[in-house]
Amino acid sequence: MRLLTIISLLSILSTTLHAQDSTFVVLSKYNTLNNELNKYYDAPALKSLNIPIQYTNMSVNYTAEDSKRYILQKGSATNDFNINIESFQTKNKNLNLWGDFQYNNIKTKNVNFNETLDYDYLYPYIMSDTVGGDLTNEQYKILGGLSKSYNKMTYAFEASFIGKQSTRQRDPRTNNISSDLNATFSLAYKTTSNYNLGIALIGARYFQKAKVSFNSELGRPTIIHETGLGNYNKIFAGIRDNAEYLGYNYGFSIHYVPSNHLGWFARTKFIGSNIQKKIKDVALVINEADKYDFDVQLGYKVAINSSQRIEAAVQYNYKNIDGFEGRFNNLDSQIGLVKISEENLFNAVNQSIGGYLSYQKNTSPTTWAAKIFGYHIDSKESYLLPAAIENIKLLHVGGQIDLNQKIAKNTLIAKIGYSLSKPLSSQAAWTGMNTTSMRYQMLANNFDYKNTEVSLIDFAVKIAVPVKKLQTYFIGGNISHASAYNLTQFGITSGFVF
Amino acid sequence: MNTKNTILLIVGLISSTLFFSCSKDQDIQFNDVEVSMKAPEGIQDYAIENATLKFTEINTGIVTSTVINPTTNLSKVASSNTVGVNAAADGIVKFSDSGASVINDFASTLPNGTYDVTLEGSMRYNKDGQAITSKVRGSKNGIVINGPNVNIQLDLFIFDETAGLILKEIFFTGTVTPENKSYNGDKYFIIYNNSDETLYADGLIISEAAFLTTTKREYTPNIMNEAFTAGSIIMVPGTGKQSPILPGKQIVIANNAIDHIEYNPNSLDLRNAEFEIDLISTINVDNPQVTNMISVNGTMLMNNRGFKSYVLARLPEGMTIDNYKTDHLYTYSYLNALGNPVNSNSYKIPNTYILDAVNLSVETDFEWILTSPQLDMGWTYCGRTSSDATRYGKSVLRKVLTTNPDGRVIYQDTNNSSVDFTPESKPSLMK
Repeated sequence: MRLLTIISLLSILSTTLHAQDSTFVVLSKYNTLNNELNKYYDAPALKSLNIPIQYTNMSVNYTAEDSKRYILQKGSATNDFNINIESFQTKNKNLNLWGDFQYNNIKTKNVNFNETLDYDYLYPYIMSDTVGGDLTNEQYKILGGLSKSYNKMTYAFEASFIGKQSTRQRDPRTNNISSDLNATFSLAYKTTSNYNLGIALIGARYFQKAKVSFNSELGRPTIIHETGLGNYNKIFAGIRDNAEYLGYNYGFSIHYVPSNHLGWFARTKFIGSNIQKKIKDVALVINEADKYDFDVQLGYKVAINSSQRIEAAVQYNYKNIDGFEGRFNNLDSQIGLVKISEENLFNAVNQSIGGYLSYQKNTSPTTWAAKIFGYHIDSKESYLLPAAIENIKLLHVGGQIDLNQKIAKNTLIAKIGYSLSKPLSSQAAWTGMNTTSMRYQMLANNFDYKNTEVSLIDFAVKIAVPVKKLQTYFIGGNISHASAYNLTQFGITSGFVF
Repeated sequence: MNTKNTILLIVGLISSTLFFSCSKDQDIQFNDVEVSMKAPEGIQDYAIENATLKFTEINTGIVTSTVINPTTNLSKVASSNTVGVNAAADGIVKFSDSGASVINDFASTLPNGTYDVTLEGSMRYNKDGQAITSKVRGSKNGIVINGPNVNIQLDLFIFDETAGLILKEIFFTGTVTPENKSYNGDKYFIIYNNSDETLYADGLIISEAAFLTTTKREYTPNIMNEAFTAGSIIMVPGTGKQSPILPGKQIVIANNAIDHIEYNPNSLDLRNAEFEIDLISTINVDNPQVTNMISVNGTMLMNNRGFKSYVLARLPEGMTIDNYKTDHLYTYSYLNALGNPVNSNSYKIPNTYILDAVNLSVETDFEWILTSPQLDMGWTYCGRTSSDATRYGKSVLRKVLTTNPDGRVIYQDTNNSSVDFTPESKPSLMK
C-alpha cells in the first residue's frame, strides 16, 4: 500500500515538473553503467576518475526494518533516520576536494546478549547480559579529502571521524560511546594513456567506552564478557559492567584501473585490525582479537558498440579472526587479577569466491543494466576448550536490473533485484552447554538464522525533477522482503542534487 | 602497456598480497601436573577408596575429574607400579612409596589456568588397632598451572558425616515490609542435634567472620588452615547442662524474639525462640521471656547480603571468655587499595574448637571461602548478585539426608555448604 502511494506521488510529480540534463542525470546514468566498478576506484587518488561531474547531494533518508527472525545481538527491528550531505568539487584542473557529513538516529528493538556498540567489529569480545532491550543510537560521520595531480602522479589524502553513542533509558542502562578516526594516504600513477596504478595506505584508531548501569533495587542480571560461541570467562561474570576497547586498523590497497572504464580492472586490499579489551578493575588486557580482511578482484569490461557494454569480474574475499583470551588468577582483591596466560582459543574464517556478469545498454532516453552474480561462501568458527564449532557453506546467487529512464525532462530510476542464499552444508556443536539455558537458545537461534535458505526480493524507485536554484529534487523509496525471516525493509529518500 | 604486460601486472598485484591469507593455528598449552596426597597425621595403614579427584578451572568453569579406585593399600604399593584408572581426564595414577606420609601421586596433563583442586572419597585406616573407614577430603584453591611441571600437595583430612551439633538454618536476609522497606530484627540461627544422643547448648558460640567472602586479601599471617578469624561472637549462656538439645531437636537463636508479624505482615513470629541476641540499640527489642545470648565480641548484625561466613564452636572445657580473648587475639596486616599496609586485630577461633561452619556469598562477587576447607569447602547463598532484592525473606536451609525409623531427621553434613544446603529457601519458621 505504501509503495503504491509512493508510486502515485512520483507519477504526479513527474507529470507536473520537468527536469533538465542536470548533475543528477549525469551522475545517475553514470552509476547505472558503472555501479560495480566503485570498489576498483576507492583509493582517494583514483576518486576523480570515478566521478563524472562535480556535485553536491543533500538528502534526508528514513529506513525501517522489521524481522521476526534475527541475530539476537543485532535486534529485531530498526528505524534509521539519516541526514547526508556529500560533495565533490573540482577547484581547478588538478585539485579535487570532497567531503561527507552524515547524521543517523537509529532505534533498534530487542537487542539481547549484547551491550556494546559495533558488534561486528568487536565480535566475539562483547559485553552482554540476558535482559537487553531497545537501544537508541546516534552516529555522526565527517569525512574530507583532497587530491592533487602533478604530471602523471596524483597525491591524495582522506580522513574521517565517526562518533557513535548508544543509550537505553531503562535497566540495563547502556551508555556506550565510540570513536573511529581513519586516515588514508594515496598515490596514483598513470602508467599509460589509459591505465592507472594506484595505492592507498590506511590507518585507523578505534575506541569504545561501554558501560551498563542499573537503577532498579529489584536486582540486576549478571554482566558477561563473551569469548565466542557462547563461552565466557567465569571470573569476570558478575558486576564488572564497564569495558573499554582500543583498536588499531592498518592496511593498504593496490589498484590497477583504466581511465575510460574499459579494459582490465584489478584491486587487492588488505586490512588488519588489532582490538584489545579491558574491563573494570582489571588493569591488563583480557581479550585481544587480530582480524584480517583480504580482498582481491579482477574484472574486464568491453564495449560491444557505442551503446552496449559487457562486464565480468571474479572476486575472492578472506576474513580471519584470531581471538586471544587471557586466563587470570585471583590472588588478592587488592592486588587484583593477575594474568597467568594468554591463548588463541577463538578462530573464525570466512571465505567468499565468486563473480558477476553484467550487461549495460546506454541509449536515449533509456539506460539500463542487468547483472547476474554467484558466490560460494564458506564460514567457519571454532573455539577450543570447551570445543565448539559452527561451519556453514552457502551458495549466494541472484540478479538485478537497473533502469534509468528519461520521461520528458524528468528522470525515473528503478531497480529490482532477487537473491537466494542456499545453505549447502552446516555443522554446529557447543560442548558442555546446558540445552535448557538461554545461552544455548541464543546459539541455536543464531545458527538457525544463518543456516536458513533465504530469498530476498528488493525493489527501489526514485524520480528526479528539476527545481529552481537547487537544480534537481529527488524522492524515492525502496522495499525488500525475505519471507524466510519474515523480514520487511522499507525506506524513503528525498533530497537535492546540484 | 600491452595486454601481456597488463595481465602480468595484475597477477603480480594479486599474488603480492596472497600471503596474508595465512592464519594462525589455535593452540592450548598442556602441562604435566602431579598431585601428591598427604594423609592426616596419626593414622596408619591407610588406603583411599572410591575417590574422585577434581580440577575446576575458575576462568572457564571446566571440570576435569578422575576416579581413583584402587583395590590395594596404596601406601604399600611399590613405586614402579602404575595403575590405569577410570579417568575422565587423560592420565594415569602413579602410586609410589615416596615418603611416610605421602600416600600416592596422581599425574595428568591440564591446560593453563587457575584451578581449585578437590579430592573426595573414603579412607580405610587403622587407629589404636581398630580398622576404620571414614570419608576423606582434600582441597586447595587458586592453584596456577602454567608451566611444564606442576606439583600440587593435597593435605587430606577425615570428616564425620554425622557430627553432633550443626547449623541447620541461617536466616540472614531479613524481610521487606509491604511498603518495600527492609525490615531488620527477624533474622535467626537454628542449631540442630544431628546425633543420637542428648547434647547441650551451654557455652556454644556462634561467630560471624571478620572478613568477606567477596574480598580476597592476603592477610598476614595466614592462619586459615588452623583457625577462623572471628568478627562478632555470641555465646549460649549456661553452666554446662542447662540447655539440653535432644536428638533430632533444635534451638532457635533469634535477633529479637518477638512476634514480628505485628510490625511487618511479611515477617515471622519468633516468640518461641530459645535465645535472643543483643542487637544495636536502634533495632534491639528485648523480650524478657527469652534468655539473651552473651555478647563475647562485637554485635551480631548478620550481614544481610550474605557476604560473611558463620561457625558454630565450643570453647574447651574450663576456658573462660576472658581467657579466650587473652589467648586468641589475632593481629594481622594486609595491603589496602593504595598498596599501603593496614594492621588490624580480631579474635581467632581454632579449627579444633569449631563444630560446624557455613560460608555464604553470591555468585557474582564470590572470591574465596573464609574457613579452612576442612570445615567447609563450599558456600551457599540467598540472591544471585550483589544486593539482589529477591534475597529478602529467604534463608539457607540444610538438606535432609535421611529419616530414621524413629522419625529422627538426619541432616546432610559433608562439610561442603554448596551441596549440604538448599539456597534461597523459605525460612522454616515462616508460615
